[in-house]
Amino acid sequence: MRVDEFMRYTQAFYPAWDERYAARLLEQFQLDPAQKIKTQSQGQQAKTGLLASLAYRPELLILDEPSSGLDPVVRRDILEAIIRIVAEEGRTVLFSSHLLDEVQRVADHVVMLQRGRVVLNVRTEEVRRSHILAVLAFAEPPVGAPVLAGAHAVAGYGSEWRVLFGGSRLELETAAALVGARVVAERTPTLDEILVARAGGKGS
Amino acid sequence: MLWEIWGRHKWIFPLHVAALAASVCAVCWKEHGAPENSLGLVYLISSCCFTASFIHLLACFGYIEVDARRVQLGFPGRLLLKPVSTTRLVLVPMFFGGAIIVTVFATWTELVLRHLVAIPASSLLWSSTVLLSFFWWMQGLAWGLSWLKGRVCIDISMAVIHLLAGCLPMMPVSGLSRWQWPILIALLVSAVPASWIGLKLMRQGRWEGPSRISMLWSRLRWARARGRRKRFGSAFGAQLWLEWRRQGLLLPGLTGATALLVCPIALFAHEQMMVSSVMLIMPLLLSGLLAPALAKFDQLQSMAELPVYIAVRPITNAGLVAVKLVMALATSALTWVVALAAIGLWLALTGPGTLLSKAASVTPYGLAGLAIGCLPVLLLLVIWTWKNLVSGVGVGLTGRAWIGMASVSCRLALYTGLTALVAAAKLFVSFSETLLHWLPGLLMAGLAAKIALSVAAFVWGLRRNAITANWALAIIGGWLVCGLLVAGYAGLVCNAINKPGLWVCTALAGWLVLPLADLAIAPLALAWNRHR
Repeated sequence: MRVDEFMRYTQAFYPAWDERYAARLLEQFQLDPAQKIKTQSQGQQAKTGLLASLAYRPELLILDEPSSGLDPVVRRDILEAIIRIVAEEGRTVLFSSHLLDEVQRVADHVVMLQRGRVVLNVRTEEVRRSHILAVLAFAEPPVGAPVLAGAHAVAGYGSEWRVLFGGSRLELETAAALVGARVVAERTPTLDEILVARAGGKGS
Repeated sequence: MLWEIWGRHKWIFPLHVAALAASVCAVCWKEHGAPENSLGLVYLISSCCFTASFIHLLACFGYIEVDARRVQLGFPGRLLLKPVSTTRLVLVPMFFGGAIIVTVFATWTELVLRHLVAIPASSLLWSSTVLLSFFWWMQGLAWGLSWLKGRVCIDISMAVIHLLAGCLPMMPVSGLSRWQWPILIALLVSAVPASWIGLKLMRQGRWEGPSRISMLWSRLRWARARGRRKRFGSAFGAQLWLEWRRQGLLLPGLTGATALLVCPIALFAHEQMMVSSVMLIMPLLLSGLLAPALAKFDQLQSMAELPVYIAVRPITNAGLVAVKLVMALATSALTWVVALAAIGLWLALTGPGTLLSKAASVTPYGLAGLAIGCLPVLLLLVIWTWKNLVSGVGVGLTGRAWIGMASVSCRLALYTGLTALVAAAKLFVSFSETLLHWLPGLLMAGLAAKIALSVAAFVWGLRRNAITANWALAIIGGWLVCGLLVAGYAGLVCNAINKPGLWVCTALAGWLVLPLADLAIAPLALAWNRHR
């Protein structure tokens, strides 16, 4: 089936199909309407599928790993399409992904599932604001990994330990002081780091 | 490679031995005092066993696999990357497979076929060589040209070439006899390098991606359709377009291909009736064989899988089933157009005068009257073909292999029982009279059971909201109309042949075989499969 035939077929199922919008997406995704879908690359097939899902302007769009296995250029195109839907048209997009840098860029709200259970359900900005990735320096190297209240992950050796802490800067300094350490460096962790730490390094 | 073939098929090879044993027993029975009227049964058993056994062996040793992702049928892709030479990859399945095929063919010929058909001993070598050449060429074409769309045309052409080559000894052309073996040997030997070259190029990835021809053809079709493209009127229309595109031309194509194969044979054998007889039977036979394919939405997926894209279409289960039923009707009608066109063309080319004038003399209304009188027959044939295609659609749509197997087992048991009844009736006159006496009662009981089952299925479907009242009425109305058509025409025929007593049985049998319950449960079956 060619791309244009696929669009024509899908159009019949959705009365709200917008032909002009579909044509615009076809051009933006740089798809050849005369090309057969089975001869397309994986990225082109993903774009074709996304085009068919977007063209009828759904209120809710559900995408299951939309950019998995795709090259960076195609991933960028797909993410930009998703951002456009959310920003310009005010529609809701629910998508699952293991590429957390994408989630961080695109998502307003993030839900983390671990072994079928929800372990995190919070706005993206809030989750980043509420976590700190800090480097603690100990006067005397502790025996074993230091235990800090509020820390989700601790890694390191000797006198310097890296900790991902869930809480404010003040709480971190208090907790560090209690174990005899001081904060020497800190930054905002990425979503990837936060979720890996909260998952405890186990699969989710 | 051989271990792999053994591992995959070791549970089926005993069935081959059982089929051969059954055929040998049938042949022994024939030669040691079987009644004259049982010879048909012997031929039927032997030919069915031989055909089934041989087709499976060809598929098994042909070493051809389906790559559903690339929509190709060719050499197992995983072996192309192994550190094994192309020569070995080609020669192992060709020589071992060929040796086994030829050995099995020779065994069947000596033990069974020679006792049924007059085959001279000298022709065994010729037949085996033709078969080996055909087998090697089918392998080579599948391995080397798996990327080529329309490769089936080349396959059919090669089959016709081998058929003609096999018929060389029978051709009344002077001087041809001394060229028979050189032609056959050239055909046989050329298969090996052709296969080697095809597989080598495939292994080098020369033919990865769409061919330029395919891309050009696709672009030409797109340009041609560009100005004329209209929106589909409804979701039903779009789904019907997809179904037709996927398998609408399969049955008509196979029927046409049969005509292409049969005509040369009939020409050389000087059998004018052969083409007409075969073309009248083929659509009915092929439709029965293709019935399991109708329930599938994608021919390259297994029976159990419903493609996700179809499953999430915003169309009801009844809608999807209705599309299949309408597509089956359209393909049945087209198939008969092809069959009649083939018969008409054959009669036109070979001198229709005698045959048609004989047929026209049956009725006092001449050829025109005959043609008009045959229209109801044509309609009945279309309905019969449609019935063959849609029977079992309810079972197939469940997507459960165990249900499919149970259905096949029940049907086999039923047909075996019916065949045994017919055979017994032919052998024993008293049994035949008793059966005829009780037949109307048995048919009525069967019809009552069918109606009861169908009512239950409709009620269940309505309660589960899988079907609407309109759907139920349409199915029941169609069943009644088709049944009345069968009963009406049966009445005319029974009256014409002066056997009015047969009318009741024929009419009841017609209503019994037309699908009803199957169509009632089909939407339920699809609902069961759709959201697994």
